[in-house]
Amino acid sequence: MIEINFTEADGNRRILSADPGSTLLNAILGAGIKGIVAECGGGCSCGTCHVHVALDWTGRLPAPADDETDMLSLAEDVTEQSRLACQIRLAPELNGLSVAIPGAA
Amino acid sequence: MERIVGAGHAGVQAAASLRDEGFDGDIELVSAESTLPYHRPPLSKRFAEGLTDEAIALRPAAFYATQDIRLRRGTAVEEIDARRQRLTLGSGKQLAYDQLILATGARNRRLAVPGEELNGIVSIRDLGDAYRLASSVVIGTRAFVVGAGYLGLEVAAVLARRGVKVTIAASRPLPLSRSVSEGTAKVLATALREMGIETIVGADVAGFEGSRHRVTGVRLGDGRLCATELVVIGIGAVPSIELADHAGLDVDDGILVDEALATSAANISAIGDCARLRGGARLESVANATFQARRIAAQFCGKPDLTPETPWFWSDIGELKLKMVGVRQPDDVVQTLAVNDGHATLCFRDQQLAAVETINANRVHVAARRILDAGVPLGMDVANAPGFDIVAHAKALAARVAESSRAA
Ligand SMILES: Cc1cc2nc3c(=O)[nH]c(=O)nc-3n(C[C@H](O)[C@H](O)[C@H](O)COP(=O)(O)OP(=O)(O)OC[C@H]3O[C@@H](n4cnc5c(N)ncnc54)[C@H](O)[C@@H]3O)c2cc1C
Ligand code: FES
Repeated sequence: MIEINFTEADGNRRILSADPGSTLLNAILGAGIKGIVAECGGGCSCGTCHVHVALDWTGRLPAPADDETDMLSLAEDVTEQSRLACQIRLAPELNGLSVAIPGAA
Repeated sequence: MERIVGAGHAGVQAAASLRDEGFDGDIELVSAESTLPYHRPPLSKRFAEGLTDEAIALRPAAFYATQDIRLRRGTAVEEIDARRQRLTLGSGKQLAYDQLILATGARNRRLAVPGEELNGIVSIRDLGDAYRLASSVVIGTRAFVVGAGYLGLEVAAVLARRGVKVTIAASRPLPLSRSVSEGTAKVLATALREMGIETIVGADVAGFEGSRHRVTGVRLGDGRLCATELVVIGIGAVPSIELADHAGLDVDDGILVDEALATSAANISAIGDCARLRGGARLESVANATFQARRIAAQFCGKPDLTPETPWFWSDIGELKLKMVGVRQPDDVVQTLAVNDGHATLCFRDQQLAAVETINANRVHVAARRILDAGVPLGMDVANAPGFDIVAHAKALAARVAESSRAA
């Protein structure tokens, strides 16, 4: 199991657990995190699974593909920490990944 | 007790959003399907292949437990007694409700011609259809796709890529011509040809021929017979309104709702593909289903209404990522935009940007959504000026909006 430190919109912190190889989005949806709609089901088509990855983790994730960068290009609260949760596959070395809802308190 | 009929995109999102908004009463989803509720778009884009049950699910199984949402699967609601606020299930069991949300969706239109019941003729709406289609793909065989709408084109592209010889029967010369501008349709038509897909225009299907209960050919209205091993029917969908109709609710190509998504009966709302705004259009899209679900939840919980969202839609036709934001009208003035490796068409109404179609131009799509959602008009004169850059325009607009919300 992989554990993810997640900060919700109201600043509340939670630990999500996920199977290695599943996506970050799956872990988020399973936990019923507010504010993640994920309309396109991980197709990189909607941009509604936007999260902020903690700065000390951004470099450890595989770089985003062009599609992902394009979808994020005009997202609200976009920063260098922005990623689409559906495009992040949880490899075992991502255990302890720290992620927040954009604009979290 | 909040009961929701139908556990598709709309129903499941409504349940999720009710919890998001803090509703702590009972929620029950009644689903005619026995599977864990799932995403429909991948059915036609990849026949749901290579996707685990978890990956295609709208929400992982754990969601229903953690959110305390009861999901009653494989059970259809047979009847609504709107006066006594009760539902009758297929089993005869009755359930009372305080609030009822109808999210019964749509089903595919049938062709209603002889031979339609033969094996090898599919129409793709649910997971079972996708599995049936996936198991019918044999390299070197032929497939006949009836209808050049989104579903037909998506399926045709997947089949062609897998080595099936595809013919599309279209009612009009250009694909998707009811939904997209001529320019966009032409790009699609060229791409289909390049995929080796043949299109027969203006041919209506009179019936199907078969042998040993399996389809072997398509009989066209002019008498021609096209031999084939597989037929896919994609001629649009009809809203599932019978339940509402029998209960005496106002229906007319959809369960009629007002701006607040209320039907003509007390304590019954309708959302998603099955609902039609009085005097307006019925939209069939994930974005609309999700938005209406979020809106109804905010309302029930006494939260401020959501800011309207410009309708948007996506479709993946082979390598083409088609996206639309805003609803194009036939009289719109169109203008194409130069985009690297892609296409973008701006549609203007009353001199203002009203809709944008893009193919493999996600950045333009995202920019257009931002502009249309902001509700700040973009005049045709501005867009026509030399050097106009829609992405830069959207960025500047977003910065202005952020600035003014900081100031407020
Ligand atoms: C193959 C396919 C591909 C698509 N691709 C795209 C796309 O790329 N982009 C996009 O935006 N949209 C796409 N769509 C459209 C999108 O899937 C629909 O707009 C969306 O599913 C609507 O959600 P809904 O919840 O209103 O209806 P549905 O998803 O149809 O769900 C309704 C549910 O209610 C159930 N139900 C009906 N009557 C009863 C009853 N009496 N009792 C209990 N349950 C009942 C049905 O069985 C069904 O499970 C696609 C649709 C299909 C079929
Ligand atoms: S779920 Fe749509 S982009 Fe991630």
